[in-house]
Formats: sequence, structure tokens, C-alpha cells
Amino acid sequence: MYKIAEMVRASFVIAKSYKINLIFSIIALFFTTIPFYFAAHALQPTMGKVVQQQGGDFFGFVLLGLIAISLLTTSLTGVYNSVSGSVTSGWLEAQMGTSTSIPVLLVGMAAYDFIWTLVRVSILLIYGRILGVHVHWAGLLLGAPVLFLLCIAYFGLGLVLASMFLAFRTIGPAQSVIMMGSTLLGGVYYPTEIIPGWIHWLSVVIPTTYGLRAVRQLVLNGSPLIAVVPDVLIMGAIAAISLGIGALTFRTAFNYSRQRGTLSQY
Amino acid sequence: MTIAADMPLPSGLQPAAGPTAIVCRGLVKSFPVRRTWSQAIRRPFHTEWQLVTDHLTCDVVQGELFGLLGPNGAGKTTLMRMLATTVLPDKGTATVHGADVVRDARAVRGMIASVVANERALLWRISASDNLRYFAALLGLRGAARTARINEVLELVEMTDTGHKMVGEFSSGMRQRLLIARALLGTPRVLLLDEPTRSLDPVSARQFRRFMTRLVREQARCTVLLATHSTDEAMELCDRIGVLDRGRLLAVGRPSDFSADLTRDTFRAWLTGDVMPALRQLIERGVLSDATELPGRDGAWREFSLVVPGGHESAAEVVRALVQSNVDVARIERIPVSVADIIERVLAQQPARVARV
Repeated sequence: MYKIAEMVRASFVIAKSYKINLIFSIIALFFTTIPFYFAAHALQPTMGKVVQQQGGDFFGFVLLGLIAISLLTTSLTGVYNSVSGSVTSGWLEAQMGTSTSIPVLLVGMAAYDFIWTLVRVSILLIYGRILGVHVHWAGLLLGAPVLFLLCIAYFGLGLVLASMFLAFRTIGPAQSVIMMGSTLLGGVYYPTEIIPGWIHWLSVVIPTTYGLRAVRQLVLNGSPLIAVVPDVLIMGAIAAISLGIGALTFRTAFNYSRQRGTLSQY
Repeated sequence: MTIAADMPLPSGLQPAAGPTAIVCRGLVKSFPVRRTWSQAIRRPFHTEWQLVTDHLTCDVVQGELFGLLGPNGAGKTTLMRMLATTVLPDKGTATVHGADVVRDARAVRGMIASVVANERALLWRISASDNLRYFAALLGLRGAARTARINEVLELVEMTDTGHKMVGEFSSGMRQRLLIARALLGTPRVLLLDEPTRSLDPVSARQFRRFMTRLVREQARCTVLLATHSTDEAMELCDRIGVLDRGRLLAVGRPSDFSADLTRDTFRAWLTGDVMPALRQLIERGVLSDATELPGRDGAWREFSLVVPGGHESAAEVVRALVQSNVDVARIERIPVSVADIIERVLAQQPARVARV
């Protein structure tokens, strides 16, 4: 934990040195939210009924979708970006020389991005509250671990992407496919119920379908935990499977890379 | 100078004098060759392999500074990376203080520190101290011990005053020193230096060599494996040097052995006065084997190539005899040897020598 904390600290010092970037990333959140606010209000008469079970406020529904997608993007790309950047710069090779275990290095390298995203989504939630979203704070406490499970599922997929990079030096369109699939079919901006039947079956295999539905019911509707247990259990299973596959794939790709001599190719 | 061959340690190879830090036996490593599109289409499942280390066998003694010379692609960096556990050998074994680089990779990483002339492997947007703090944490150092060690290594690399500065503001030489400082943080038992002066100008490279001599000989006292293309580095720093070519260690010896073997006791002298009779007399006495006047001339000073069997002691006798014969001696020096000379000579001798081994 101490090692990860120091890695996060160093990343923070680096991020702090880009002052303009830091300020703009906060301001940009506000401008990202506003169009969604107006669009959601325009669609409220129609969509309000569809999202009744998840609070009935369509802007709140979309806001939670935005929050989740920010966290999931970071969970997915954080470890891949760290691995690809550190392999090509020789940074991973240098860190390996410290005999720190690879899992600690991976978590440490991706941790700052995740923490920073948490800060940004917290600000997003405050914006939402100011713009009239009704948040059940007790539900938020219950929803946070569910969101965390969702992040673990995407972290597992991120490990698979990092493995693809180690093995093939490219991930092709995999990252875009995963994020686009999750956004379009996972109920980020609209409930999965309105997706046409011929493609609806795909949303069943997308983790956000379960995770976001559960989080919205807890945070926006104030539902008790018991109401979302099935979704949470499915989420937990998906997270466990994803992390397991990710870890196994990464280990295999890491050894393959050592065998091929591409672990420190720059 | 001795010649190495396959595992086990060949009889012709000079055995390590003292306890060993690094032992390599029959290391084989091949990498797949990148193929063109047409090759990939014609034979999609075929892989061509390039042999990078070919049954490489060598020992490095504890506390020794061992230089690796060889042309590009000889296998120096691959050997370093196998020792640093970032590349897995296909065959053979390598141990660092008894720990196997494959089976005990983490133990090896705990003993070894690798310095590659790669400035990008630093965090440029934070200070030198913060870079070291980051690595100290990964090494498990904390609190006062961490601060003390960071200050120690900054002092070792003479960067105490610049530790607070952002790495992006440093010169290449300073970044190189910071890489060394980082490597020394964990008090490694073995230091791997892969062309450490590659990106340095000649003055910085000389400063770096002085710094390394002091550091390795007097302060850190660790075993060093140095891959280099620099004659100065090989000759000034190393206790022994090994010549690698196409993955095979062809010769191992002290720098002076290589130098003597190559120059064959040939000295260059700048003389004036009645030179020729004096030189003829020395040849008759057997002090000189041969003397040839070279085309170079600087005013009255004529340049000669003198073959002096017996090295420096005989060269001193030559100078005494020349002075007694009223010949003025402006300068006499052994013809300097370059890394290219060493490699070429070893490669030229290699087939005959290996056959003998």
C-alpha cells in the first residue's frame, strides 16, 4: 500500500506541474454537463416514464451514466496506457529492477488516474446536485461498492488490452469497441429496455447493464439493497471472471514478452 | 588473453580468480526475425529465428569491473537483459550470487541494478529527489532511512545541490548520473551498465569515467558488468574485458593483455639528432626488434615506429640508450589500441583459436 501511495504521489506531483491542464479539466466538466442537462430536460416528458424505476429523473439517469462511463474508461485504459507507455520508454524495465511485484506496479501506475477520475466524478455529482438531481445519499454509499465492482470488471478487460499490447504491440480497435459497446448497449444514456429486440440480447453480456441499473436504483430511487441483489450478484460474477481472465492473460503475455524480448523495446 | 568456447567452462578460458558474482553457462537466446508482408503471406505459420547468444559461457568475479566489447548485435544487451530477468534464456543457466535468473527472478532483481543510457526512463516533470523517492519506495525504503539513503546517493553522484531541480532541466550527463544514483539506491551487489556514455559528449564521458572509477573502486564496491564501445572506458575502467561476437564470448583477458597482444610492443617515438646509427646499434644489441621511420615529421622531429620486446621496461632502456647516443627524445608512447582493433583482432584469430580449444 505504501508503494502504491508513493507512486500516486509522484503522479500527482507530475499532474500538478501541468497547471493549465489541471484547471481546464475541472472547468471542462461543467461544459460537458450543460448540454446533457438541456437535452435530458427536453426528453424528460417521454423518458421520465421509461426510467421510472430508476428515479424518474432523466437528467439524473444520464448524469450517473456519465459518471460511470468516466470511471469505466479510466479502469479500462489506465493499466493499458501505463503498460504501453512504460514499455516504450523503458520505465517498466526500470521499475522491475526494484523487485516490486508486477501486480503492485500495475495498480500503482494506474491508481492516480483512477483517483483523479474519482475527484472529477465527485465534482460532476456536485454539479448535478446544483442542477437539481435528487441524490439519495444513503443509496450513494451502497452504490459506490457496486460501481467499484463495475470498475474491477473493466480493469480486468484493461489487463486483457495490456496483454494484447505486450504480445502484439497493438490493441487494434479493441478499446473503442469495448467502450462503444458499453455506451450504446449498456444503458449509459438510455435504458436498455428501449434497445430494439434484434440487438437487445447483446446488452445481457455487458456489465454496465447490471451495474448501472443497480446504482441508479440505489442512488436515484432510494431502493433498498435487497432490490438490486440479483444485479449485484451478476456484477460480482462478471467482475471476478473478468479479473481472473485479465490476470491470467497478462501473466501469459508478460512471460511471452520476456521470451520474445519485447518487454523493453523502445 | 584467452579464448572462450561452449559450456562447460572451456579449458582455454581464464578461470575467474576468486568467488564469482555472475555465472553464465551455455546461455542460448534466439529472437524471431521480423518478416515482410510477402513472407508472411507466403508462409503464414513459419517463424525465422536469429541466434543472439550462442552457448555463452562466462564468469564475473565479485567486485570486478568486467567489460563487454563487441560489434552491434553481438549479444551484449541481450546478455544484460537476461541477467536483469527482463529476457528469458532459451537454454542454459545464469546465476547472480547463486540465484537463478529464471527460477529466482525476484531474488536476482533484488541484487541487481541496471543502468541503460535511456534518459526517458526517468520522470522528467519531477525533481531528482522525487525520482529517487519514488524508487526508494519501490525498494521498500521509508522514513528517515529513505531520506538518508537518497542524500547519500545524491552525494555519491555529486548532485546534492541539484537534487531539488526538475529532471527536465538537467543536461544528459546529469540525467546519466541520476540513473546511476537511482541504481545505487538499493545498494545493489551487481551493477549492469549498458553503454552508459553513449549519449555523452567527450568531456562529460571523461568526467563520467572518473566518477565511475571513484564510485566503483572506492565507494560502492559492487560487481559491475559494463557493455561499451568506448576504448577509453574499456581500458581505463575494466579489470577484465570479454569480446563477444554473434552471441559467443570469443576472448577474455585484462585490458593490458589485449593491448600488448595487439600492439605487439610497438611504440611510437619522436626523435631528432643522429638517429639511424643509434637505432641500428640497439637492434644489434637485441633491445629493439625493428625500427621504421614513419612519414610524419614535425620540424626537426622525425617519427619512428619501434618494436620493443619486453614492454615498458625495455622502452625505458631504449630511451636511456638513445639519450646516451646524443639522440633527443621528445616523446615515446605505446601505440593506442581501439575497441575496433581488439574486436577485429579477436575475430581474425577466432577460427584457429577455437579449433585449438
